[in-house]
Amino acid sequence: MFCPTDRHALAVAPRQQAEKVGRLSSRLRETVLLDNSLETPRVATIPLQYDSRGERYLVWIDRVGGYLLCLADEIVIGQANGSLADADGPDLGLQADLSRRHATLTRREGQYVLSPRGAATVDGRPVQDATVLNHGAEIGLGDAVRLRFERPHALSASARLTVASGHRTVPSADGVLLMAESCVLGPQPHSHVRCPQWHQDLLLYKGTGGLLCRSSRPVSVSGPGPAVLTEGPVAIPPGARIEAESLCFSIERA
Amino acid sequence: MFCPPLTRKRHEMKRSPEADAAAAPGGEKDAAEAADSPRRERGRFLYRTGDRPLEGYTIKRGVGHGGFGEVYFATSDAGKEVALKLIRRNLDIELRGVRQCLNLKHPNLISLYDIRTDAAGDEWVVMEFVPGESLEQAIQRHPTGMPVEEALAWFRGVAAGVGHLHRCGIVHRDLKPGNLFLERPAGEPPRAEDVRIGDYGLSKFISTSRRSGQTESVGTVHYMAPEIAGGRYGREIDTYALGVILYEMLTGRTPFEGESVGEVLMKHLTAEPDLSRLGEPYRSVVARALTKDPELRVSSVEQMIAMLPGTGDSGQPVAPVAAALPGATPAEPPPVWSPVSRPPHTHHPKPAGEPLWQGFVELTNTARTRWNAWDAPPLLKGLLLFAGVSGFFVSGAFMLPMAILPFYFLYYLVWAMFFDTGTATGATPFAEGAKPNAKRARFVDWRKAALAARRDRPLRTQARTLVGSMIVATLVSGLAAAVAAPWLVTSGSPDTWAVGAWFATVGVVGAWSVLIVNALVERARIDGFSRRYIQLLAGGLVGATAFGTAQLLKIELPYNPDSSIARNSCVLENAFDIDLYKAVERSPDSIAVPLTASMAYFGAIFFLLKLGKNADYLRRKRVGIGAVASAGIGAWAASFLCWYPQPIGLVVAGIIAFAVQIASPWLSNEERVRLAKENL
Repeated sequence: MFCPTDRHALAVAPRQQAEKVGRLSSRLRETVLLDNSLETPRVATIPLQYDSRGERYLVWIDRVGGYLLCLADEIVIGQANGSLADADGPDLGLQADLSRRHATLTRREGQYVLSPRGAATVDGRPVQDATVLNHGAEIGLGDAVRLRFERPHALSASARLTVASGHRTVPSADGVLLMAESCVLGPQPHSHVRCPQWHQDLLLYKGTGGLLCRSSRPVSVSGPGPAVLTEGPVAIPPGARIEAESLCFSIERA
Repeated sequence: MFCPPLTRKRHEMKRSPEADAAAAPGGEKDAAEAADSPRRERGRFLYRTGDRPLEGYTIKRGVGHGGFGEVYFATSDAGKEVALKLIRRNLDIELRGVRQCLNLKHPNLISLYDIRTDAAGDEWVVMEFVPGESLEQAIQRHPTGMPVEEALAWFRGVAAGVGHLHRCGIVHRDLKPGNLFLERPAGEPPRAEDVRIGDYGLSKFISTSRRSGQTESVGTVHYMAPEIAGGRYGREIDTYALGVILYEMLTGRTPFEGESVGEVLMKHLTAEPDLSRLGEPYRSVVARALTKDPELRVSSVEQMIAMLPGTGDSGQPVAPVAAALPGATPAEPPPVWSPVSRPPHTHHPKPAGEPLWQGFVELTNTARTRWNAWDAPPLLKGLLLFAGVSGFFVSGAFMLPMAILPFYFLYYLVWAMFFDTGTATGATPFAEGAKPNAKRARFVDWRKAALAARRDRPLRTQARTLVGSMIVATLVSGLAAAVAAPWLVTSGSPDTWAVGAWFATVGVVGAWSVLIVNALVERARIDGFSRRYIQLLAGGLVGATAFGTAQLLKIELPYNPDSSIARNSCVLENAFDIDLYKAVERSPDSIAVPLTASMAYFGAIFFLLKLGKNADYLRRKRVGIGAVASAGIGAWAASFLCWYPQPIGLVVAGIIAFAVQIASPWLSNEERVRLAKENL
């Protein structure tokens, strides 16, 4: 069934892909890792064919914590029914007195909008309609749930949700990352996941084949495949483990 | 358009065999080795996400390194979240400790579920996982100290758990903020009951018979009680650690900091903590908990709790509802915790020194800091310093301070006499000039108690003590005079017996006047200023006695011209042109001292020297040679002001000081210890 052109395409594909990824990552690096605001809006407007709906990962970072990584542009927040293998459960399930689909959090053109279905507040004010969330906003759901919404990095559209009221997320995590294109892990305060003991920054971003990462210094990536020592970009499929002298984390599908 | 999906598919196909290979034992080993190839550093974990070293549990991530092994976060097959502690060194001490604690139940202790052994023979402790923040992180959020309410709630929780351990006969031995956690109850602010104490696997039974069975020092150096150096592990080491933790919560830093482990340990053993940053009652709680001597330290947690304010209601919230999780930026605490009471309290106001000297000290301090902060090459600095110093000496500028010094000395005398209020004789005679520190703070209590008890004695008892002292002083003066007279009289001119009698009389009258003045001051609580004038009067009286006795015995006082300055170069004559010895015949080795000179000399001694210190109930030693010597030296210096034959003048002052010390009652060391314990 393969035509010659297809065969040709296959042969050059790895190199093409590497080039493409390299270009993409260098652009991201320019705009995200450095405080260079020349081409700021580009981060949010890079067109991506990657369909990330409903895709979630768990990032287990040694000494730091476990983070739920949500790649979708829209997540449903609601009560978890306790079972981890719940296909039609909410994207962000909480062990709390909420309805199953209590609110929807949508990322649209670099902004986050909360659309409540049940009782909700933003910064203490009750909201019924879609509300734009600002950095540092406190989302109240039901009687007791309080979520803190933060966008630590000014140049990235990714956001972080932390449960401030002590409720458990399902699966259990210390924080929820709503990943737009990229997430920064590192020691700086503007990192999406702050890892105080790390000596380097690490960038996670969406690529055509899944998650990719690159770093300012070489990291060892092992997991389903053999270990490689690289600065990236390198694909990190579920089950991968990323190590360097000061850091160590694993990623798995939630 | 159909190419991208195809490439992706091919990519997946290509990857799968490798994944299979990795799943095989050989492949896994390679991968593990490759992962190890970049430097294996401290802080790496043996197991990784997805590993199942212990049947039934899946490792999620490494949490940290405890005292004896790695701690992991893991989930059981059913979904129970646990912390797994791997004890790789397989130390008996650790496991014994954990086994003792396996069935302890208390809301403030992390629950231990089980001890298991894996296929490799390593032991694992399965325990409760607390997802909240540790006290270490909470302290980091408040670099200058937590709000008092938050610190108190933490402290109550920790103290309740430690109290339970102690009641069960177990010493924690490794209390530190990194071992204390806060469980986050869903939907409500955490309280003291939500504090969890971890790592009490190092705990050891309190054995009443042998307290130093364990020789290996364990624990974290900043929280280590000094007696651990001697291998002693009583429950007092926990109260010590609690004191350090309370200090750290309230100020943001530990009381003893240093560059090295040795330095910190040395400070635990010798240095006094700076408690000036704490307000009451926390200051006294910390002071008592940080007492070096475990016998004197507050030994029970309940006692510490009882000293804290608001005991009884433990319903206060512990951490802000929006307390930051690891990785989150610090959140604004809710209004519940607006800090109410954190006064930057000065514990012991340093007595204000002489203002000119203070100014000079401050000036040099500023100059030194500026010099140190000046960002110049070291060579240039060195050259400048050398040029400055050599210029100072070559140009003769160094004569200037030498010339100023005598004037300053005079000024200081006047200042000390008339304006000094802070450093005057107070309730703490021998701590003068000492840096304000906790030691003093600790002593204040028993000192006050001792002085109050003494003051409250009936008048009759006081009079009896005084008379007794006077009799003893008479005997001692007589004996001392008998020893001193033959030593001082070299040539035969004044009769040795007569000089001895003069010594005895002056010594007795001098000692009596010191004793009487002291009794008066003690009873009537006379302040330092009036006291000096009473002393001046007494000194005049003693001077008159000295003159009268010499007249009566018809003697001239012997002196050695080399032992003091010339008569006419004393301050009184030089500066004020008053010659008290105008009409006196000059003789090379003896002199008849006129009444005015005698009264002036003894007046000066009694006015300037604190001879009353020798009668202090709380003086450091019963008889101190130093005090006797300083009385003699002071008397000798007084003859610079107003000439008097020496060494007879200084010896008589020494005799007075000696007789007073022997005659005055003194609080014995045993009593001090008893009083100190009573007040703890």
